[in-house]
Amino acid sequence: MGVLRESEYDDAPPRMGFFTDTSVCIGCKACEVACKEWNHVPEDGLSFSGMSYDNTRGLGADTWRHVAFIENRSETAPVDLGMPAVGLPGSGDVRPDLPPGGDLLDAEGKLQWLMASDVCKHCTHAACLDVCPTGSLFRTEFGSVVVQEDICNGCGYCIPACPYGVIDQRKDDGRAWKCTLCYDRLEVGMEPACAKACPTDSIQFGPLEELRERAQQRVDQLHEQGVDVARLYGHDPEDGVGGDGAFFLLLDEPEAYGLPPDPVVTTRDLPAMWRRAGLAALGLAAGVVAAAWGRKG
Amino acid sequence: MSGNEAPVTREGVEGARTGREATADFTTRRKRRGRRGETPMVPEAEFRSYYGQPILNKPVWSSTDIAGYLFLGGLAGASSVIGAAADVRGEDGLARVSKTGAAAAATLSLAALVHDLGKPTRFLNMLRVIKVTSPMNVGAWLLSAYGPATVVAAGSDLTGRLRPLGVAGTAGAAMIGPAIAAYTGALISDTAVPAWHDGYREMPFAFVGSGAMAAGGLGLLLAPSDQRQVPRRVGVLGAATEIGFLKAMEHRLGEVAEPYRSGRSGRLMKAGEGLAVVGSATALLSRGSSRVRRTADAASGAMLLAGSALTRFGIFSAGIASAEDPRYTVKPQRQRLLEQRQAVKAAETSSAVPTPRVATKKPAAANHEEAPAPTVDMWQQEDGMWRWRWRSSDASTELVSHQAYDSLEEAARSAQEAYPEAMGSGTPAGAPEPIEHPAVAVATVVGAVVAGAIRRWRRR
Repeated sequence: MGVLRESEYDDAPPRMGFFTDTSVCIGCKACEVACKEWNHVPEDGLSFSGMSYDNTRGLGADTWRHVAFIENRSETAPVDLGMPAVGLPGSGDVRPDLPPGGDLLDAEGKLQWLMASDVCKHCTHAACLDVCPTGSLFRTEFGSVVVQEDICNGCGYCIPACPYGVIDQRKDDGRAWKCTLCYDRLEVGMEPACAKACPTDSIQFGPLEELRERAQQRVDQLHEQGVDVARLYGHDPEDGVGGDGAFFLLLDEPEAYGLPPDPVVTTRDLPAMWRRAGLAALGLAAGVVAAAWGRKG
Repeated sequence: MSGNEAPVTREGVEGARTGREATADFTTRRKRRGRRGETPMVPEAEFRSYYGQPILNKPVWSSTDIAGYLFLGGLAGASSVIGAAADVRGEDGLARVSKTGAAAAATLSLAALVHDLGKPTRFLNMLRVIKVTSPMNVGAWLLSAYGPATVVAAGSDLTGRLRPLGVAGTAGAAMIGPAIAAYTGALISDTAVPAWHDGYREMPFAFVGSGAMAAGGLGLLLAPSDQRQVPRRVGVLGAATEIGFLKAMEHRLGEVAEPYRSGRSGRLMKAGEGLAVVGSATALLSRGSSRVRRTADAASGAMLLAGSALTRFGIFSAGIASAEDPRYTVKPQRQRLLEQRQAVKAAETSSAVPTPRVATKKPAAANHEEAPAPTVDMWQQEDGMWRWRWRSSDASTELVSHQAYDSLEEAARSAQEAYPEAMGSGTPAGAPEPIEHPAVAVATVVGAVVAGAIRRWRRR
């Protein structure tokens, strides 16, 4: 809301965003594929990371959606939901050869496998946009943050400015790239490719206000079911980046997913930085004048 | 299933949080968080990460270009001020050295900046907007005024032509110079890189100190012997300022300052500091015959220049190191959250009576109706292990427990957790749920088993 008023759009559509509910993510990576296909994102390296099912590692210039796989040991075993039986009903002779534990559990029968699809957060207070010296990064009428590739001169300032490590430089091209919230699709009333492709509706797209309500309902529902670890991330307009346009429901601490626990937009401190730089400049001038004062030695 | 006290209760699930660990996490947690809110002090934040992967994308800037740019900007900016001061004092030799040095350094720094762009041909795009939220944009504007001024000042000094323009250039460069030397402190601080951002209070002061040290060094190295008083003072003062503010910064940052002390960046910082100290001492103690003095001054000047450069490379490299290690991103943020929570809790506990954190969940109304409910039953396998089976109300679907359990109770607990409505239908209406005490848990489990058995017996 506020973000759009600041951005000088007279009658903007409601701010749009993502709610990624990781509790129903199945790690299929359809979002990664759909994003690459729609946006013509180049190949991002064919390497084996050894990190569970994740060989993409993190967001970057050529990875705008990234599915993380977290293998957690837990003191409680996962809920045993049962599996279809193969023996005669009630015979008690059901696959007696089945090893206790099964394939997803370690020796103690305790393992939790989390999956989460990460994306650009489209922050309310976006550091990348703030520090971009060319004005290539801008705020769209949907409240998303987009790079104009015909203006970007590849200075790379946005890259270390991002508190989430989202935007990065494409090496052969020199410019910075990241998720556009499928700006082209939004303009013709379509939802972003990743949300469209998500088979479980883990990625939900819509007006941010509505998504926030829906997310609150979902987290309440999970708490009621005893999943106390469920928590929302990036939903709070009072947080260090003014709330994310793309926020998440997580089942563990944010850092376990590679997300910063309490990100703050770096430009929040910029007024203080400028004051100090001004003082320092005056100090330099004064110091040299003082050193040059008096007779020649 | 050993050590699994009461998985059915909400508290049991809750308690699991503290012990959960990412298996591929290479780092250790120094301290486990205590039970909620009972520790009086703020404990040290625990650190976890996603397979040790960095949270941030590290700067893609080349160290030669950008650390070089930081050094050259400081050298140029402070040299311009010395050049103007030398003009006023009538020290032509020093003025020439400083103005020429400033012009050369400014030109080189601009070249480094442009060279580092991904699209160098688009350098001028920085001048299509004026944006104070972007120190790089401000820097581009400053440089585009400052660069020509230094060139005019130096050109006029060297050729002796266009004196009035030269004076204007000298004055302009001297006025913008300090800003050029200082703004780079804001430039690198205005990022999410922990070692840079968190040092924003001291960085601009350390940077002007470093610039003054380099400019003083240049004067000591090249100015005529009778005109080295100003650069000597400026150089030593600059070195003291730089070292002082960097020390203060390292002290304030605590753990985040580690890259300034260890690794490659730490070695660069130490070398820079050592050169600054020895160079300053040499400059101050330079005595004796003119030849000895000349050698000592030149050596001290070279050391001050090199010291400033090494420190800039050290700061640059420390920033990269702090961005590469998720510890420096996560731990301070986690600590901040912990302290906030602690503060909130302290405010709450002063008045509130502790309430049990139990979400009361009502059984679905359908369970009390006549509609057939799904059932669960349990049996012992030949190997002595126990299993349960869930059967849908119309008996079309059967699910058998994934695991085999050591005892009937454990199997019942597992089934209760997975299918409370099937198990719960056997408990008397209005029974407390969820179960809060092991004794109650056992009683309920036994009740559920009996109920299940009765149900099963009835169906036959």
